Amino acid sequence: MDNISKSAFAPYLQGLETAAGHGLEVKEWTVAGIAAVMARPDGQDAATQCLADFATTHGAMVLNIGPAQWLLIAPQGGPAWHDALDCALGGSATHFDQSAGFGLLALSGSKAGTVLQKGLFVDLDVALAVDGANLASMIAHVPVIACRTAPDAFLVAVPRSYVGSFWHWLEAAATAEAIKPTARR
Amino acid sequence: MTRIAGPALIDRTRPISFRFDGRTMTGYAGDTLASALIANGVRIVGRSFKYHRPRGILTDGPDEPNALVTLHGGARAEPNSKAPMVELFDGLEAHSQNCWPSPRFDLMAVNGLLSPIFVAGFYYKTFMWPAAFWERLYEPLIRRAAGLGRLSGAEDPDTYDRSHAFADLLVVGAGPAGLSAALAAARQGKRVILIENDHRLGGRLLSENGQISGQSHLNWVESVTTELATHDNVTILTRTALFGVYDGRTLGAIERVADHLAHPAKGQPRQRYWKIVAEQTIFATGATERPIAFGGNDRPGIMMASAVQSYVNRYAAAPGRCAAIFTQCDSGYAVAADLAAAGIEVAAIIDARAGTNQPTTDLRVLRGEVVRTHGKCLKSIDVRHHDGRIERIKVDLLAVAGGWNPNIGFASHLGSRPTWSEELQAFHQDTPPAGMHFVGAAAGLNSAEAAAASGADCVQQLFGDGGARPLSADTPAAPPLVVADTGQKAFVDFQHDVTVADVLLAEQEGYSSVEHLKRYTTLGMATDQGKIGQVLGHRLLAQQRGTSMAAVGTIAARPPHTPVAIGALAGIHRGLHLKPTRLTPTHDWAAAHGASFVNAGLWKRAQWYTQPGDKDWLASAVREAVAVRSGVGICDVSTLGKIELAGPDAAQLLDRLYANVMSTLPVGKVRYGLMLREDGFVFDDGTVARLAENRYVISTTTANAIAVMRHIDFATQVIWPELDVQACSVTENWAQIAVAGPQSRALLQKLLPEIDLSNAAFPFMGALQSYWAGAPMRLFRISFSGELAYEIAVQTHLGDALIGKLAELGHAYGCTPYGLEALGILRIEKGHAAGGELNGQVTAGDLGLGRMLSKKKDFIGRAMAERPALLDSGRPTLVGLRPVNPAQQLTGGSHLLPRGAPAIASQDQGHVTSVAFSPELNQWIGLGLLAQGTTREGEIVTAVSPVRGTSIDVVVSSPVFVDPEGDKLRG
Repeated sequence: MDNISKSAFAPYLQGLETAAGHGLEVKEWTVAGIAAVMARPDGQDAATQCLADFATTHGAMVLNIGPAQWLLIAPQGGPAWHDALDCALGGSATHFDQSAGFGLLALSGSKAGTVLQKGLFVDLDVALAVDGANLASMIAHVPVIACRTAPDAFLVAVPRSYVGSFWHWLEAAATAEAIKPTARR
Repeated sequence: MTRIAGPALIDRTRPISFRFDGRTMTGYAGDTLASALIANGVRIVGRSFKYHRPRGILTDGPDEPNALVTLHGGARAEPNSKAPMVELFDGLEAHSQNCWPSPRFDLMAVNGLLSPIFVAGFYYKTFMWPAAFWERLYEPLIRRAAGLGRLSGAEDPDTYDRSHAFADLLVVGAGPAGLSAALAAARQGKRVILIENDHRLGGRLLSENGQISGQSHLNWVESVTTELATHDNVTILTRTALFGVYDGRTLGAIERVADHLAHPAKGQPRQRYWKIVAEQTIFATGATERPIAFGGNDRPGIMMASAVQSYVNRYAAAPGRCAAIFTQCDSGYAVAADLAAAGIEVAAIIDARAGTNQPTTDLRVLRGEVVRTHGKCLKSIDVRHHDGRIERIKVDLLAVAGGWNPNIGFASHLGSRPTWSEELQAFHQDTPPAGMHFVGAAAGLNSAEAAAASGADCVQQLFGDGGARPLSADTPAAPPLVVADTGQKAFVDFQHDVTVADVLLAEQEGYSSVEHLKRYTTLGMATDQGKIGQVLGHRLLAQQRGTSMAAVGTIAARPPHTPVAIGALAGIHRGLHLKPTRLTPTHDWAAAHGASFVNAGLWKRAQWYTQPGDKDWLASAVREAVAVRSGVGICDVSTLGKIELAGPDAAQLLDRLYANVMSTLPVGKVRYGLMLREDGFVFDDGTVARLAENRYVISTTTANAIAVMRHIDFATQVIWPELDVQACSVTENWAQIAVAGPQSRALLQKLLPEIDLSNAAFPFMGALQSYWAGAPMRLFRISFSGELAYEIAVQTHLGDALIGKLAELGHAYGCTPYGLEALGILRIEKGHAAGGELNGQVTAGDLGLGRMLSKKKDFIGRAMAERPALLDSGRPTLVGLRPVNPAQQLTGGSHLLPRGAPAIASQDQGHVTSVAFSPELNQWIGLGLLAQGTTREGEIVTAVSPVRGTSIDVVVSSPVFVDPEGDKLRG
């Protein structure tokens, strides 16, 4: 049982060609640790700093998902990771395990932004102007958290139960731009 | 063919074959369907809406009222397509509409003989008796006789795309004003989007001869277009029509991606719906040429002068051999000159104006009016000279130049009302909404040079250092003209067959406001939305009322500005994808084991599992319920909302959220809880489990998962922000499986051998946390079925493996997966309230849960729950119901009446909220809300369903049919 995949997108990624340079490449991130972190009253500043430090030392990514609320994504997970996070927050914030709650899909390529903009009614040139910027919004009525990870690369977090509908949108949006998503190595 | 030699914007080296009403014809690349039909000598393209009068092409643009055709066939049939907007492509198939058997010979033209009946508002005056005939006879007949095209009724085989765009400046229209505005903004580095309805940029410059800045129109367009293409900050969308302006500087547009292609690429959408947000929008939307109301002004061969100019100059298609121009503005003279230059005989220019400042020309100019016309297609016109003399002139083409209506309707989408300008002799927008700016002909500047200057000036004013010059009319303006005493039908609205007489009659009958006039006569209600004829109608109204155009006003345009295919708005949201779908963690396993699914909100939930031998769904559900009562069943309950709360004040918050006390709940225990709304009615129910000193997880119903989360957010962020508690939905993180039945403990003990699940170690309402498959696991001993039962939660990705393992280990116990139907049977037998009972109108007392309302603490809804009406002893309360005759089926939704009482509303005492066939009782049972129900056990009442036509007697009982003492679930 220990080797059960955490993949949420596997059924949809199967059969994709593996090729670069086709405009839209996709790759699923199957990380071990995802946590929703919420600052306690008056704990926002401390929590912000603690999270930044924790992210640096644990190779994690911190996404802002609301006022004094973050989503922490990390390669590690499990009880020890949660204990370490608890310790790092020093009582400034509470965290909730979401390790299995999201499908994470990385989109990259010259058309990744174009395709994402078709779904997001948010100006990506402003809201996601710089690497690391992120937002919480909806795509085709599916809640998403999107983050720019590089000039032509984004990470999209989709609640796990919605990944099928999100993939349907992504395929349709790409097809409308005459793009066939390919799997990134 | 009536092609003209000489330069034009068609490619004569690329002939295109198309069909119209079954006839094969030829056009050229660059043609529209309208120009190709004209070039092929087709003069009658359809019949009018009401009188079935023959109609020809009137305009060259999107407001065409006559030449509406159906494109394609079968499922792709597209009715009401405007021929001037249809780009010609090889294999195009078009059909005329509203005529039979053909537009040239239409039997429905008999309607014309009945025209004295079909006056304004005729359907308010006729077909009134007998009343029963209206729906069955009159309305179907009228709908058949009048109308536009028909939808195929088949599923739309095309796909539609959607996209979003953001800009500093959106420019709508790529004529001289729009192009110069876009270029000026582009040079300033602004993010510019330029949209144009046509497939090429240029607007009227493609049709009119003239110069801007010393360059010919076409050369100027070419130079601007070339420079725009060098700016990365400019996005140009051709074949794109703006249809609406909305709040937040948001605009909607439709791009025709593949409508012009014979064979769209695989997957290529037909159209794309754009949502655009622009800080500023410049409307270079031009002006629509105004017709003149005179006798027989709808005859094929009579066209707007600007359209004649387009067909001749741009498409080299001659709409006639011998023309007259009926004008009251200078633009008519330019059209006459272009016709003459193209070799078309110009018999006369009929100028209605009395003044002497008209342009000079070598052509014959008559001072007067066209009063009437002759011929099925135009053969001659009668001109009334200013001295009263009538002269008949043989022509087959009459170009009408009645002045210009600036296209300003978009401002009305945000509530701005147009006002009448005496200077422009037109309605204009003198104070458009913030962020909207009208330039060029849309601002009354009709010369190309002035329009181009106004576009650049507007940009300078918006983004530069100001210095824009004031705009004023640059050409003499012409008032709307209605010719009197014609002796023939004079049309104001061509598409809906509204005549001068109709408008006058409406005014006589009291419909003297423009809004009433519109509704009574249908003036301006068709696909052109009155853009052609509405102002003429308002002029008539003003004349009749003896008042000014300013006093009469005009109607407010509303979106959509042009018709929009519903499919374009729907995009991918159709069929199975109408809404997003949420799949449970065990969906694949369930599908592989014969599950049928039902929508539960956005979720797909297993409804039942069909097994060999099940004769129908009820047999499946009953088999599953029996398996739970006798052995063990497993059911995915992951869709229930799961919210974690943490913090030192979590217990205090829960006490305020729930009607019963939660702060006394020990760690490792679960308690049933009831939430009320502020108004005192029941909001939701579920369980609260205390996982640690300051950490809880609560469950909600599936339907209220989001609503409860929102409720908690409101409580923590708005009502009690001082509480140190954080709440987070973790529904997506956990797969939760109910394991229910007398063998459930044995099964779970096999799954979790290291945990002591004995009744002593893990009693009813216990909760524990552990690990399964190396990942966190939670186990709750709770029961919805009334049996010994548990719910086990693991991380979502393990849900499929968990249910598989339970099924494998449970084989020896006859473990059976069960779906929502069996779940319903079990909970109804046990008398648990669910969706049918938690209907937003019940109190805790109604459900028999009044004792849960704590008297020791305050909680949301407490004060309002104590209102006398909510405590009234006569309220309907939850009861059980059994048919007196066990063979009878109880119907959900039935009204409950005293036995023998007539089935009338005054006798209604409640209703049946849920029904099921109970294998335990071997008959149908139900739950219901019955007035004073708790005092009526043993009474027989009648359950009446007027919808299904059933009426049966039922015995009122306790809602708990099975194990009322609760021994099973505590065992």
